[in-house]
Amino acid sequence: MNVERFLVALIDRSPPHVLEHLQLVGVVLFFTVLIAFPLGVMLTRPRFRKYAGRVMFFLNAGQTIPPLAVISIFMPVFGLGFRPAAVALIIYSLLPIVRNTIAGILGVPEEVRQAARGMGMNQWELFYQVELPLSVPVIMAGLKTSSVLLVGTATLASLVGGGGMGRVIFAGIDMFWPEFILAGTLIVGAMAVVIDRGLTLLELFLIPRHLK
Amino acid sequence: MIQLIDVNKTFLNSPVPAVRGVSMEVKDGEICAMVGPSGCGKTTILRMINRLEEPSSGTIMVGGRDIQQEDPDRLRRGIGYVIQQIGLLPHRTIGENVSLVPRLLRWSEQKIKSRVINLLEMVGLDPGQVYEKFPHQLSGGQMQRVGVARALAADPPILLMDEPFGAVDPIVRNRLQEEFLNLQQQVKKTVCFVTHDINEAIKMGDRIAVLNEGRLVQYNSPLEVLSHPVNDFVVNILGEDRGVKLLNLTRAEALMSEAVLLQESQMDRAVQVLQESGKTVGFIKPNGNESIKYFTLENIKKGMPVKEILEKGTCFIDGFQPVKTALETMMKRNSDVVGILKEDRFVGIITWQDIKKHISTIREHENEC
Repeated sequence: MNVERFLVALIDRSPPHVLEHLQLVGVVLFFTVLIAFPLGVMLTRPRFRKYAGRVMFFLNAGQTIPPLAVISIFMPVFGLGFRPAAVALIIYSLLPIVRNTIAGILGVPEEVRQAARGMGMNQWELFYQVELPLSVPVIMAGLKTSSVLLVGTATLASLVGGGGMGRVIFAGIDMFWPEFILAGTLIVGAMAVVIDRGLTLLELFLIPRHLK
Repeated sequence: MIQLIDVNKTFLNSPVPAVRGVSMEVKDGEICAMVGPSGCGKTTILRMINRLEEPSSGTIMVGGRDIQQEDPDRLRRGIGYVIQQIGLLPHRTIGENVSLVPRLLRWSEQKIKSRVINLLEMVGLDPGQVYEKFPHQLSGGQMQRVGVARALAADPPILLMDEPFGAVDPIVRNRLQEEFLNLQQQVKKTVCFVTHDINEAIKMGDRIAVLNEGRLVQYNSPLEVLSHPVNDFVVNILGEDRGVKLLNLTRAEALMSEAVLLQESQMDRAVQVLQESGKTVGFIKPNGNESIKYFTLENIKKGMPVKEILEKGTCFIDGFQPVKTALETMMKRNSDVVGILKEDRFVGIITWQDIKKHISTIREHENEC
């Protein structure tokens, strides 16, 4: 173990890739939530509920394909760089959020829904006053799962030229420099922990008051 | 007023209709208790009145208007709804839960607050204590009170209650029933009350609707249903102790007869007075502030001294209490007679003979039909 090389990896080589990595994770999470949350909500509406099974089947299938394969599949379509990596990672991250959005909303006790309808709430009032606040804890759990997974899988983006911490780790693998691998993985792990904690703080703001 | 006209309901995934040709009318200010075994259609009927279910055919009128013509959400805001599982919003405080409908109706904050406090007091909760609490911090009985308060919040003329007291223990249930009946005296709502418990139906209902397999079997006052059940199904649902239940429905004052009341100083004329009035029991008002005592012709004839008579206790009940209470009091005190009070004044007596006669007239009725 070469301490000097480890420090070079940690202090000199990693910082720009940390930024790239965070940027990638941020963009991917943003679009994932933008797609997954409305999709999940839509699949719980009476009109679309019958499609929930089929959509979940595809998302489950998407999740079982190794992330490396997902990333590679999009390379012929989008070429190299940030975009194909981001698109592949978005597809890979959808499932936990869609699934938990559906589970959260359907998990609202039926009697609460019945009473709210019986009091004269319309579908929209029922959704934003009852279903949404009560399903926040489950939806947030999905978002956290998805984010932590994403921080890890985003290292693969560098294989299609998407940048990120994968650059440091794969450099280490190519050069037989365990110091680079170690520095890269430590940083990725730390990022995952920080993001998880950050989302936990966000959750504290969003969860229904009776659970605080 | 709620009117159902030939209402039918068949659920999509079911071969048998849940409600078949039900026509009935619930008068303003009355409690209609719908009773029947599970699957008899009582809950479905209730849920059709606020359009949580739509009838397959038939018409339902609320306050003279066909509810099919109304916006379902607006309709529901004008109808109170209480369910067994209560369904309070767990993330809202009690105050917010009670104010749900007024908020939907966009009342002013000030009006809402005073209304909520008023309501919580009305259902027997301390607003200062529960207003800011969340539902999970309350007991089952308290939550059900909140459920009733929430249903009454916007002062709807109609209240739908689906086994509202089914989930609490018998002692609390009894208290909630009494409290609701007292509340109903003040608010005079038109109430549809679903229950599977015939005793609850008898207690709560001004009228009882007995349902079986989606059909309305009998719709009448509790007294009528108990004394003239239309068929074996109703007899069965009423249970073996129908006669005793009837005693619960007749007020003691209905069987009351006038009593002889003497002052202590008149005791020497007691036998004469009793015989003149054709009674076998009399009452004395002792000198001083002691309570009224009773004596029987037999006692006097046997020469029981007045002092001894005055040492005996007497039992009294209020005239509005059911005959059953009179009977219980007799058994408890080992007496053949109870005095009847009205507003704390002695007004008459009811004897074991009177009760027996009452039961036999009911039984005669039965044999006739």
